Amino acid sequence: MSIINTAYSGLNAFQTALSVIGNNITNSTTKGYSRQTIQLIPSITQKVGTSSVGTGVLVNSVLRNTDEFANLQVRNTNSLKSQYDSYFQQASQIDKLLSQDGVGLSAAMQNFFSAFGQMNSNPSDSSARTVALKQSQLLASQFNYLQTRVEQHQEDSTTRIKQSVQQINSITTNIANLNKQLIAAPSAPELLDQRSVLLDELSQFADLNVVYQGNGTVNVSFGNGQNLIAGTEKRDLSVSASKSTNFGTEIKLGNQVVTNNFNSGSLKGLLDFENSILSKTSQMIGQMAIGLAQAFNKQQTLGLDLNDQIGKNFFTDYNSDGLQKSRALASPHNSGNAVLRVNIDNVSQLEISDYELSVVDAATHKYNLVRKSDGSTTPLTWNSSTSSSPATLSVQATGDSSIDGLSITVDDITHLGNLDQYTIAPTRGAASKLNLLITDFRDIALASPVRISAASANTGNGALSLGTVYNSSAVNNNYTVTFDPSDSTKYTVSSDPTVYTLTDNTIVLPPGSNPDDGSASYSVVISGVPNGGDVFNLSYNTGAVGDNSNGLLMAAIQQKQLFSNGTENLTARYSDLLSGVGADTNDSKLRSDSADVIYSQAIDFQSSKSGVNLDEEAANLLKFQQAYQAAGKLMQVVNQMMNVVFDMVA
Amino acid sequence: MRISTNQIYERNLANMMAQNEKVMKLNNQLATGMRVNTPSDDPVASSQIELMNQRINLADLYQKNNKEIESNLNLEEGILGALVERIQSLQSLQIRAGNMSLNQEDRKALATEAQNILDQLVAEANTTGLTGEYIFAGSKANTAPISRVPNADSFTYTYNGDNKPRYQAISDSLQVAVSDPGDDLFMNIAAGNGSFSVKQTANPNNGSVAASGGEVPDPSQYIPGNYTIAISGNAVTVTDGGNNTVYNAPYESGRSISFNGISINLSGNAEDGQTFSISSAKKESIFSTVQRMVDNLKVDMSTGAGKALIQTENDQILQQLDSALINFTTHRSDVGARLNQLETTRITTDNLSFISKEALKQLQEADPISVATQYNFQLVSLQAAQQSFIKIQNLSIFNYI
Repeated sequence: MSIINTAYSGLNAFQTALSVIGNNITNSTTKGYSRQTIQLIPSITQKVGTSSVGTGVLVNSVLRNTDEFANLQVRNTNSLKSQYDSYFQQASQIDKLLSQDGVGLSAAMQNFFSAFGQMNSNPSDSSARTVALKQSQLLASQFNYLQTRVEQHQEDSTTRIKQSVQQINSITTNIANLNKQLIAAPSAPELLDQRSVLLDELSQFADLNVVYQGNGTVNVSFGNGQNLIAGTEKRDLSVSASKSTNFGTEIKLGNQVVTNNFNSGSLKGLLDFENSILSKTSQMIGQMAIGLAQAFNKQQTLGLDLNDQIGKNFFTDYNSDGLQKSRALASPHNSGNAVLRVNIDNVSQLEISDYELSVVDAATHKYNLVRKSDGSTTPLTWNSSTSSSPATLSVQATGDSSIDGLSITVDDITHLGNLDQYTIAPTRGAASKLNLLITDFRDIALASPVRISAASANTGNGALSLGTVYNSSAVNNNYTVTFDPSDSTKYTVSSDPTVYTLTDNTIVLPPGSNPDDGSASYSVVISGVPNGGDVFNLSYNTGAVGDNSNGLLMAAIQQKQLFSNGTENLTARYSDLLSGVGADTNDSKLRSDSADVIYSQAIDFQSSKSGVNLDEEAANLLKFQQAYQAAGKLMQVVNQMMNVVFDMVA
Repeated sequence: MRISTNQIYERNLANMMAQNEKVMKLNNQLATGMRVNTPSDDPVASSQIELMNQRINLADLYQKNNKEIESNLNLEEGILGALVERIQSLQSLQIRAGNMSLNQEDRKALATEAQNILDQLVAEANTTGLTGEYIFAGSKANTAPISRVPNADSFTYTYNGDNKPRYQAISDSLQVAVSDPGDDLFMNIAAGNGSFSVKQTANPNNGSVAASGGEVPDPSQYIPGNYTIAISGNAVTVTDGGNNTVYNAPYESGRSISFNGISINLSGNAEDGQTFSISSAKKESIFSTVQRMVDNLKVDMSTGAGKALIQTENDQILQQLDSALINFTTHRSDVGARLNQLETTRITTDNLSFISKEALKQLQEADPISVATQYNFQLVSLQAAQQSFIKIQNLSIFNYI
């Protein structure tokens, strides 16, 4: 009587099938659950005569519906999506920070220049001067504040990276554990599902390369083969604590620095954000602060203040010894102990970049300077015969000591060791150093330093006016310019008998000096025609409280093309920063949106393979329920057949 | 393709989230009226917004400067007008003073009147503006520009300012002088007739020859220099600085003598030894000219010699008052021209500011009608997404088992 066995095998198989369906239904919302399907096969046949008769059904296997290709797609697109997401999230904060009603650097600049412009209407008015001083203070603090905010975002980004690294480490620990369990039970579906979920989670941090091993384990690496998990072993990521985070966060795998090894994932997004947006913002506002301070200080020290003194520095002197030293950071691995100073010669030539100076060969004075923004390398050398002394490095090819508007000096050239490295950051963080140095409104130098008066006996209609002030070295000398009685294109100065000839209607003082070699202090320009014998007196401009001629030059700095080789003024520079950050943010938003689309396609594809559809399960439920009922009926029939036999025997 | 139940929920959820985001964005644009709230909303526009803001701000500053300059120049114009009137009254006084039949009392009254006007002139030269700065002191704005020091029976006047006018910007390329230093205005007025001045230097025998102010009929013939006119033995001799005789002829009252481009009229009774000097015109202040006028009115007119001296001086003073009048009216019309320039520039700057504000509006403001339309449309889409979700999630075989 094998029919009863047949019926029994049916009941048994359909019960299993129903429990698989039940499992699918109850796990339909479980994260990472892969739909399972039962596979039935007919059991071994019996020979009847020459034919075979089936003996029922067997459960061959319970299949976990999963597709490695779909999983791979999900992970890859997840890495991309979270890269752009995290970049966009961070970038949009800087975007808001710089917006018109955000930090208000542009408003502060405009108020500052307006205050200066208005002060020029009443140069001796203490209230106008006080307002201008207040606005200068506000402008400096606005620069400081913006830089502080940038640094806060840098810290925030480092914290996020640290948290991510912790999560990665805990996920890899779990995967390594699962690998261990899977060696014992290679096809346990719940373990496989768990590991798959963990791999998906891991993929949001970094681009993964997952390799399935024969023994049920997986090896996981990121980037260009940086191994995180090999079988049951794993390696931890960490964030370097030693290095200043002002230059961006550094990530290590074991002892190896892997900061540049990420190809996608949220870590890549955060690191990119640090590199492009935070660094650039810090460098650009630093450059603006330096440009503003240098231009203002220069003009201020060419004027006279209300105390009849040559103006003092208005803002921080960016070429003070301390700040020069702070621009070059020695690597902790250096063997030498040379101290570098970086002087900013020309702000309009400054590039938005950091630099890496490395000693190629200390003995032959060969050094390389790498500009980090584009990676271009300039070989440097030092041209001098003395072997141990302070020295300025110069470009090997041209002998030029100024590189991108910078000059680098070494306190003692013999203190440089082979392979020593220095990071040079000319502009980064400079905005936090911008301070207002003057505190008394009387110290704003609005007047020009030279007074010109015509002798009352002059008969010509010529007039002298102040041309350009180059420096204040000779402004407090008294000069008497006397035009030659017989030839009014020639003149003598004071008691010096030398006769000078007018060129371009300009007289340069001290007499005989030259504006090009720095010996000239100032020039005066002649308008009209002086008669021979006319005399003009030049003297220090004391008591000129109503003079605003230097103030007009200070206010004109707003429009002065200070940056980018003399093509951009402060506002243009700031709007460059705005449009740069805005475009980056906008771009990352678009990329994040399109990555989102690809990611959801991958998810769709994956869940079409592995996801549970309740309608499908309901249909299967009905199918197996009916099959179960049928098998039960078969059992009933067998029972009745047995009864017929028993009745015959009785 | 198989669709998993989870997928149905998640897809619908994602759809609704996306619709929500769009609704929020439009809502924000409607509420703020701004299309560009952060640079990323439109990077190119935001950089232009920055430049527009700067331009508008600068225009505001220029307009403020413009108003301030205008009030300064209006004050100066008023003073210059008053100065012109003073000089005109001085001229009429001086013409009355030329009447040789006046008695000493009349002349004294005229002297007092001239002295009053002189005091007013000094006060006006020392005018302070709204902020207490002396407006005619050049850049030495805290120093009274004109000071008066007693000197023998008279006074001398000194200028204490400098010769630097103050400028202020009213556009990117235009700076306008806000003030005129007093030395040009008051101090550097040509003495005599502008080319030379004439003065009686000696009259030992009480001659009564008076010299006119003279003139230069043909400037091309004029040789500037110092000359001495001497009357002796009924002859007139003119010698130049090198003691060369340039003119020698018998004296005749009321006749003009001419030499080296100079023409002078001499009239009166000649006596030996009366000499006059001619010197290339120096500059003199209006104050010392008026002071000379006052002093001249005090000179005793009872003798012929006194009359001659007064007459020679009278001519000089009249000529110098003319020069002063020309100087003040020239400055006044210059100030008027500057006020015109302010007006023109104000209109241009207003236009520029208006255009920039319009541009700014277009760059950063949202178009309310189009945003409202989009907003409504988006709301309808969101509703549709919600309704379809409810319908779909109701469909399940389990409802029928």
